[in-house]
Amino acid sequence: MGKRGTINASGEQKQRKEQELNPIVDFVLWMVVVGLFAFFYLATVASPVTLYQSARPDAGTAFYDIHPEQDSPVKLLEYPTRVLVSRADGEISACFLYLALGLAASALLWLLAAPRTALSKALSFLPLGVLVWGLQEFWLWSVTALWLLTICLVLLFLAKYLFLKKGRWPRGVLPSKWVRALQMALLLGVALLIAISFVKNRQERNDLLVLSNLRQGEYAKALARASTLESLNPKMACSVRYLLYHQNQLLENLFLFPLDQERAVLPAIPFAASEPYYKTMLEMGFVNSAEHFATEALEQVGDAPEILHDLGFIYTLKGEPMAARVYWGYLAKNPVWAARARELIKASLADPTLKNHPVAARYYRYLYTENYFYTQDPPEFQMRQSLLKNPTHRMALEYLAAEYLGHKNHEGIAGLIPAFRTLNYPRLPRHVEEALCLAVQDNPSLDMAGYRISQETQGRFKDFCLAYQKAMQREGAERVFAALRPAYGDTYWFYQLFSVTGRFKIQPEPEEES
Amino acid sequence: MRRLVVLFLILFCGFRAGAAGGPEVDIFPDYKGVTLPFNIAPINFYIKAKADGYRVKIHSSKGEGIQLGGSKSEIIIPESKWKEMLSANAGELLYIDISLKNESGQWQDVATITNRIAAEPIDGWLAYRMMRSIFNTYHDMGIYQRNLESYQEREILHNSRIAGGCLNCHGFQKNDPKEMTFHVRQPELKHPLVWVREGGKVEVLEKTFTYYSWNPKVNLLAFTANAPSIFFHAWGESREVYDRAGEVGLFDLDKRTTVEQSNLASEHHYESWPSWDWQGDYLYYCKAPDLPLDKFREIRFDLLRARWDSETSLFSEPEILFSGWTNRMSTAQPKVSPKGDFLVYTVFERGNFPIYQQSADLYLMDLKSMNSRRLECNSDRADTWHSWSSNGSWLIFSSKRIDGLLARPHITHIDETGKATKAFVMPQKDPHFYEYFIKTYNIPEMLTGPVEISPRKLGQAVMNRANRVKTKSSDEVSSEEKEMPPEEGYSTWKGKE
Repeated sequence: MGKRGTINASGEQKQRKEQELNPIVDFVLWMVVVGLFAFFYLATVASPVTLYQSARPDAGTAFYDIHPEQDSPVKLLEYPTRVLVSRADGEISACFLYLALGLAASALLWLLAAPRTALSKALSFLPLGVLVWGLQEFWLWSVTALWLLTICLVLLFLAKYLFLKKGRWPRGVLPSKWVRALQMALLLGVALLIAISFVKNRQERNDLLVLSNLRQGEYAKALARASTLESLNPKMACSVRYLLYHQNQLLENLFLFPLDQERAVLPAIPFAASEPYYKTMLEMGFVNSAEHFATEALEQVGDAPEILHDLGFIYTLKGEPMAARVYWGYLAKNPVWAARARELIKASLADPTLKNHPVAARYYRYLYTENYFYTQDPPEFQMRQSLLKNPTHRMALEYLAAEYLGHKNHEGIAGLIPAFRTLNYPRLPRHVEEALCLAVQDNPSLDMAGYRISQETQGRFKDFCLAYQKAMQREGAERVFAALRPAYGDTYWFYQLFSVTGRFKIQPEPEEES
Repeated sequence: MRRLVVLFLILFCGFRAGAAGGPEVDIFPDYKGVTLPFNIAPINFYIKAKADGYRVKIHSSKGEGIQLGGSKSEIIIPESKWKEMLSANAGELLYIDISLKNESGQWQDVATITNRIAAEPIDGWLAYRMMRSIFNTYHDMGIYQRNLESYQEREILHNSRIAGGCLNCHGFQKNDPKEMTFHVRQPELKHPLVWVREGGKVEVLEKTFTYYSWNPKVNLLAFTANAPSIFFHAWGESREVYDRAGEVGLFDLDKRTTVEQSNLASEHHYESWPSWDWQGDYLYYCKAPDLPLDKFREIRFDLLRARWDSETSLFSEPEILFSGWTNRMSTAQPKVSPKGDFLVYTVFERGNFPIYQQSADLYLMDLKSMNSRRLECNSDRADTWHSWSSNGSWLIFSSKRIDGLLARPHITHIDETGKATKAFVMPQKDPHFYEYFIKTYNIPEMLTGPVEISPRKLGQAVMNRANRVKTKSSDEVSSEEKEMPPEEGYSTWKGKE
């Protein structure tokens, strides 16, 4: 008994000694393992940059500097969070930032927890879990909670080691079976979290990432990501057209994406798609329309730096450089954008028109300076007017052609053939050729201005007609859609017949809020 | 001697900043040659000149003045010294001497700015709506109040407290903050008129107006219920408001009842911008022929007034004060001075909504001679939405003169002859404020004190169903109801912490 007792005592002593001997190695190992997991998780699943995109960290926080008396404590806490998040405008930088934020709190908890049982070690990583979950849900509060917790822990840590005696875990060590059960539950929880993360918010996250790529001018990346989306909301639909145009694919792959005949290419009431719509209008040359919807976008998403930046250019084009500088002055309050904003203000003070600025010069080229009034944006009319004024305006031509395609107006497309010649298109774009296949049937003497419908399109049109006839005879009218969709879902002919593309439908626009 | 020189400058140079041995320098905001109330907050500014050092001396006839300086161009004036100096020198001139240090380390006196301190104070508070420069959608707007004697700004109500509804057209009775009305445009709340009463009672009246004015003697609102809609231009000013339909009516706040249709309404015309004079004798308003939208360039409002008989609640035959058709200009927002001697109104190219038109200017009519003239405080940008101080010496208005887009409150002094001084923008603590603040100030209304009800209480009261009060037209009111004291039978909200 005595011997056993001695053996047990020496075993416990040895175990305790082992624990005491390797605390740093233990700590580092845990941090590395959990850190690597968290980094992988953040980078591949949660995509923390989406928090930046959804939270829209902005210069609006400057408002609370100016008017602190108007503010609630929640908004005061929001300020440092927004400053922190604003540093995370990029996948890698965002991962490191959030990792550091999560691990700092975990490390402090680890240091405070004694004795360091498996349970206390596992619980130490709870803050990291909260952060990851918050990022996945785009919750800004999770970042606020974490930095607040970190500050509290630092204070506690200092208090403990400077003023108090070394503390002990008050409840002692839990029975091992409970610890194992809890560890198992934690592991299962993590597995569940990963599983949910792959499914939950996927659409929203992808939408945000497409918009993020679009804002940063990464059009190919954005378009590739957009092509994986299961459905398009009005904002995404408008963004996709903008991306297609910038990748020279608007008239080549328009019908690869969902299209709605009611709305056609540009939304009739663009409130739900303010951001991509104003960008389109700005490049198209309609600066008042761009001003209108950039303002709507600002009201909807908050003071997003990209929109403030563009509004500065919009007011410069409108001949209001002072107003432009107010927007850039506000943008200069954003730590990430401050340097760029100050440069723009300096340039505007030197030359209020900014005619030699590369960005402004691009917009000036097609600036539409004639007035007409309207109650709702008339996109087709606008593009026609713009093309009349600037026959070399490629964007106006392509969007007008796309608008005609969307409204099944192949006669309109036929009327644009000379415009393609003026702009020296080496060949007609695919969808234009597809529409002309039908236009030529109605009018065999159609003047093609030297163009020919390619053999490939003609051959595919013949195949389509045959497939259509066969499907009608064999499968009946109601099953024709399913029969033609796999091979011809991306063609104008399919759209002409069924008023939808072979892809999925566009989500309905939300009701206008005004 | 110096005073004589300055007087000479005032007479012949119109309060321009004068060079004192060097090149003239600009300051921002423009506080050169203005008349200031002695109770205004310090007019912090920055000097628009590059130098190695800046020195400023602000002084008047009494006291030592305030000396400021440093390596920064921003001049931040200590509040206590400023207040002391201005109150001791009411009615005197105020000088701002500016010296700059050049690269060789020598100081050069570059300018002396001469302003005047008026003997009359300005009302201490200002209420306004603040929001971004919006078109159709809105998410962030609120009514705020600002202490003009300091930089303190307080929320009256932000729309986040009322389910994101639109807040507009706040109104007060004779600049008194104890009684306030404003509109809430929120479908679930049925777009009510909110009446905040003395003691913090709040009533949410199920009544929708567009423009209204509070009779100074009784709780009676003259209103027009219009149908404004926005339309757009492809180039130039983006927005314009088209207003169709609108008849002058009267609403008795005490009885929560619309008085029988007023006798001012006329067929094929519509009315807008009703405004009582401070004695409650006359109602001023604007009127235009009912034209379709495509004729918007021809819509010009006349300015009229009609005497009101409080016994019969009827108006006399209206008289035209300004003919839109004859002058080829439109009018809006008539406001009579508290003493009843002047009428200030907005004159602009066309339509009903001057803030979106560069041509909008303030005009003053002498109500004794009935002669009108353009006020001296105007700019080449929209100047409109004006409000009188309770002593009739100050006019505050929204002006887009700084950047052409965002309306900022500007203040001008009106003397006994109706002459206005150069306007100055409402001072801010940060001299750069108007260079980065992207919100616009709507409907600045001067107040003799602060609105005391807390935003939280007010928001809760507006959202509380128990505070909703049904309103009636006068022909629906039974004889029993007519005899009932106004307070009874209606739920009122008495604030609880």
